[in-house]
Amino acid sequence: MSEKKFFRVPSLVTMPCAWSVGPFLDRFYAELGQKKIVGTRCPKCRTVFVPPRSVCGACWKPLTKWVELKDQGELVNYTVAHVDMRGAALQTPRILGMVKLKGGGAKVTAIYGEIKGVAPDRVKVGMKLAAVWADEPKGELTDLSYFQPVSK
Amino acid sequence: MRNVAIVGFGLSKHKAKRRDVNIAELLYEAVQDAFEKSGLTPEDVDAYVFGNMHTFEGVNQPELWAAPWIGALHKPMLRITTGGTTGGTVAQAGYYNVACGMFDTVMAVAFEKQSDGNTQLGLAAIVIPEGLAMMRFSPSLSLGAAAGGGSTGGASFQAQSYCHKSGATQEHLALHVVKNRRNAAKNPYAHLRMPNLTVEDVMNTPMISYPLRYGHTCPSSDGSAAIIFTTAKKARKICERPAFVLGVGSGATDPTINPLGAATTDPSEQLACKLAAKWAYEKAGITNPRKEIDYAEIYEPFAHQEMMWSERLGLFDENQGPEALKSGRTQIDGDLPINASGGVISTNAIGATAMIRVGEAALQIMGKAGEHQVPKKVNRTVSHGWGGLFQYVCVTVLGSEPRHREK
Amino acid sequence: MFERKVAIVGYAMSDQADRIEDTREGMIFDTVRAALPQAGITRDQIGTVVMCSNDFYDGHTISNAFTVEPAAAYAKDETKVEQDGMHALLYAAMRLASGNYDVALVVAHSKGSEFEAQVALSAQLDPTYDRQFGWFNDISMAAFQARAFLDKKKLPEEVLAQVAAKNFAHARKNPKAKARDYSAAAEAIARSKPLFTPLREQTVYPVTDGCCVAVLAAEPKARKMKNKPIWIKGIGHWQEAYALSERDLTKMESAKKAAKRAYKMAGVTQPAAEIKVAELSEHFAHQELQLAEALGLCEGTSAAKNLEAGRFGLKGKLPINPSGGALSACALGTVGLVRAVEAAQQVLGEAGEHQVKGVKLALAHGQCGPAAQNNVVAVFGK
Repeated sequence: MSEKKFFRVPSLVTMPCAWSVGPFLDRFYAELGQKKIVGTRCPKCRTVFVPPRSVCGACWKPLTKWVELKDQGELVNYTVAHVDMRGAALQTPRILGMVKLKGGGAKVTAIYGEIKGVAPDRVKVGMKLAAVWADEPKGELTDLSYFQPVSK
Repeated sequence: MRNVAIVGFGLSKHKAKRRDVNIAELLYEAVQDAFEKSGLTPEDVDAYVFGNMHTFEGVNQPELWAAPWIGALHKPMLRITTGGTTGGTVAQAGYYNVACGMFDTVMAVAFEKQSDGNTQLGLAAIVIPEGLAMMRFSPSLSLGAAAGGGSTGGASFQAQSYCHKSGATQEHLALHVVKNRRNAAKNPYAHLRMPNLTVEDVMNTPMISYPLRYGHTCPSSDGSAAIIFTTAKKARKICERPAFVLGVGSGATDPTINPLGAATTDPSEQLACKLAAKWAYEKAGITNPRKEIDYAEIYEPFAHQEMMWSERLGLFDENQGPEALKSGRTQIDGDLPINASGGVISTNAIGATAMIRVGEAALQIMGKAGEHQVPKKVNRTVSHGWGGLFQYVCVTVLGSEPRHREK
Repeated sequence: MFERKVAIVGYAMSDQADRIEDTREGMIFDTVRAALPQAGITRDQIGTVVMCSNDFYDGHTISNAFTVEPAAAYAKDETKVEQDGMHALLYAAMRLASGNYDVALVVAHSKGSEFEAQVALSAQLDPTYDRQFGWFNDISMAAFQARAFLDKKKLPEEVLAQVAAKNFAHARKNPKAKARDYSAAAEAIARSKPLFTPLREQTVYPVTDGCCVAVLAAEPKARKMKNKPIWIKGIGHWQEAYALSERDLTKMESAKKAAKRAYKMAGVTQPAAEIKVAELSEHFAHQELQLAEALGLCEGTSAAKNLEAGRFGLKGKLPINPSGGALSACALGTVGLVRAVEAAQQVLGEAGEHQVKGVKLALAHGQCGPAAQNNVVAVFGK
């Protein structure tokens, strides 16, 4: 690396975007506002997509069947985040999980969620989890605040 | 060498804001349209190529996420992006995936959903980092875009030069818009469909950056397109009159947009177009485009550009573009119809637009352009795409007969 | 199969380091200017140019708008792939195999010193859902993959540090790799700063600046060039599902499919025996093990066991990443092309201090997308 100092122009290029989520995710978020989690099921392979989709890519079938999942499920994967998205250290590590919800049959895609109520070194794939909802849901992602282990 | 043909072309509806769908769902429309029209399914497709200008939506490489919606869930996938020419170069990539021998049937998909982002900022970001470094401060992108008049500001230098050399007047510019937006009225997939548009209507719009008025500029559209390429052998089993790919070329020169290049290079000269056309015609075995090309689809977001490029593509002599337009030669029923689809001046989803030029030319050969099918028999077409800092041009020549002798 | 054979007939590579003193255009110009005489050609002999860059990495809509001139592409047939360097090599090979051109230039570049990699990569995420969390980036997605793999194979996290340690030791012999301190041993790597478990700072790619150029030619031209042609014997690419829960994260399915296509084209039936060296784009340490398994490079089914036994080291039976791999240096978007050039150098005998002896067939791999969603595999040989 060079010894000399070179002039750098710091530049944050902000591109304001407003993505249309489309009618299927529109309903997904609206239902979150009702403390419900919904998906769509493929008539051929029976996969339930959560969040819901308009088409099953594997079977090339448009999806019209809506399914309401339970707000409980199983942890299928996780990582403990020690940094944020840009790499800055987090004060407290955060457990990010992939959760397969009950109520959709054998093939259900996993949703993401933060896992609380368990120490990072005690998290186990297969843990039974229950969703904790925001007190006043607004029809947004954050209505499903986090997951915690199901108390026995 | 392998003969490659187009057997299907699909489109979504193009509108200013397709807020009724997300990016993936918009793509599905064009892809499903292409499958329905060709009678093929994703199972028939061996590989995909995809492109768009992804800074316009702020989603990096959307084909990673959206593959299931285009039938590409478990398939080979290449991403090609070349600025405004993207749709055309993605189409060329579709051709190359088959021509090289690796795959038999390939789908090329392109789109833009500009309502999800900010088009003028996206365009300004072509030059902003260098501009900021030169100016040693960070004005907002919107200031920069506004000060430059956005893309119209840049294009006005080119328009000014072209009009000066060719004698094209404000009236010619308006005539062009009238021709194409009336054509667009015959095209159910076009964005601005204006069957009763008049020269006066166009002349009454405000001047943005002389000589270009608001009425001389393209809309910003959300839309997607898909083209299916296959071998000549398979093509004959799929449709009656496939459109064979005869030649392709994709030229690049130096940036000529103000203020960086227009001082040293005339932005209306378009060397990249002359080169790309030369290469494509050579490969197609065309020696006299004026005589041998029956139909053209030209990428013209601004009203002077169809005239300008029809000359650079060798369809008319230099500076004869305005007269060709005025005389009616380039109307749907003219002897060299151009942009029966309505062209870019009527519909512009940036990533898809250059692909639509190829698809629309294919429709004319296939005889499937419906209400905007030209009455004469179409044997050879040229499709043109443009972009970058005014320095990219892609040219694709299609024909009703294959280029090489079939084995 | 290609209509006609294509070979690498020349190359050049910049250092993979933080090079703020280079402009992007300067870096490209220097590298291309070195590649042309290395291949024994001048600008006029180039038929087509395939660039490889990403608008988000460059902070430039149309990231090739200003690179036309330094890349020797002025007044030439030029296009751009926006994935990884191997994808660009593949597309350039297609353009030559079609018969339209005889000589291609492939130019991949990025300047990690000028952008935040994780911000650019997080933009790949599904904007309607994943991205909205604000937590996820390229590393977190791979972390899920690492967790699934380690759990399935019942491997301790320390194995990741062992992969990194091996590759850093190789990088010490690679003058182009200048991205980190390569003296760390496995114990220190295993204690490096945790990012998204089980991934740590030293088991994740370091982002650098870099430009890599390959000159390709189709037969018969390829046989008439200055250098011995290193043929693309076989090449394949594949993309699997984006959503992590729709994938078997333990298996690298798309790499396996890409390799299957490449091996078929190359006539390779026993890769573990026939491939003498492999350059893999292991952006994360666990991916080297997964790739070794998916590409059939192991004896038996456990890459970890092979690693421990020394099979993948420079002196082993099938060295993996003698260059140090992506874990040692990673100019995003160039990695696969660097692997391809390294593989070609191995066959040519031009790999210097990290040369493996007697290489007839070399393998190179490139990837892009979260947790290696899209893969390209190529087999090179004389």
